[in-house]
Amino acid sequence: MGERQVRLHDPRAEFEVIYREHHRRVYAIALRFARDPDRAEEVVQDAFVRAWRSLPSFNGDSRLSTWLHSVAVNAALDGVRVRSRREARLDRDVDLDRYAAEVGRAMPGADLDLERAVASLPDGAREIVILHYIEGYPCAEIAEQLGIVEGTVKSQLHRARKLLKEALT
Amino acid sequence: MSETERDRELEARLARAPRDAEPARDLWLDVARAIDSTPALDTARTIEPRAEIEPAHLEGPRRRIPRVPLQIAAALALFAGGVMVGQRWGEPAPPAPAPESPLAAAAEVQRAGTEYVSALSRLGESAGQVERDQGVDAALSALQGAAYELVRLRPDDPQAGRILYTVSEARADGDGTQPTVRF
Repeated sequence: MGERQVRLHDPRAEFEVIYREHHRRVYAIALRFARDPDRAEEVVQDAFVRAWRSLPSFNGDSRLSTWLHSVAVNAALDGVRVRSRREARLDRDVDLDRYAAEVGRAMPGADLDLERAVASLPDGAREIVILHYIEGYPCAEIAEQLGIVEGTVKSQLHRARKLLKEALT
Repeated sequence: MSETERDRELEARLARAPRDAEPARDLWLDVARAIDSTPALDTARTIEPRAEIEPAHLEGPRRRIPRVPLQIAAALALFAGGVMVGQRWGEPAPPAPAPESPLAAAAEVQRAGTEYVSALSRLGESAGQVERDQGVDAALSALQGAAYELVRLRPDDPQAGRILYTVSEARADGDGTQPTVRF
């Protein structure tokens, strides 16, 4: 994907182009974190609004896609954590059947058994598995992103691998 | 198959997972509506004293864009809260640098923060329980707005995200209702 320089002559139109180029990636992150299509849509909206507001201060040190990805991950982490904590108090469970159906629709060719297994992981481990194995973040960067030590990231990955292997056998 | 081989197979499956997903509908319309309703930063100065703040909806239908002008003002207050650690309550704010000074914006933030903290200090000293509760809710609402603006200023800064998360959690840890706070 070619990188777009942020020179906004018609800011809204240009931003729509940026949105069109990147929204699928952002939705994929949001969907895996939220495990709910409605909440994933909210995260996408939040991520792009944050990006819109911050675009003038984007300094070009990183690629636009990298920066936008980081914004999306933060939006997903913020949104999903707040909501999941609230829903836990209300004793609501994630509807994995609905999630799997959405994954099947939105990501043709996805390994649905694997996606279900990842979605069933405990909160901390799930986030780390998505960031590391699917999104390709190194452990150190995940540790910084989540405010935990790198050793915790690695131990969560170890635990997650064990749980995933059990779920997939 | 050895444990190492099973790990490798699992990691390969994860690496093949799609990184793109197509939303069921065009979300651009929602995003466009949201950014169109985002006012410019300088509207923070137009806040009316009896403005109404509704807490951010943490669940329910689509998340709407927060009340930005009030939140921007609150953001100024939060920044100052950090800056004025060590400063005595009630002490007059330092004189503002000349407007063209590069410190002018920081001084404005500090002044707003001083007022915010002083108001909270007065609330603790004199208000009754009802007023105090309402004041605390207003303070948290302002903090949440400030945290949101921190994220806006540094969208890829995980620390800013954690501040927003923590403040949002503090608000959500109330009684579950979504009170309306009036100044």
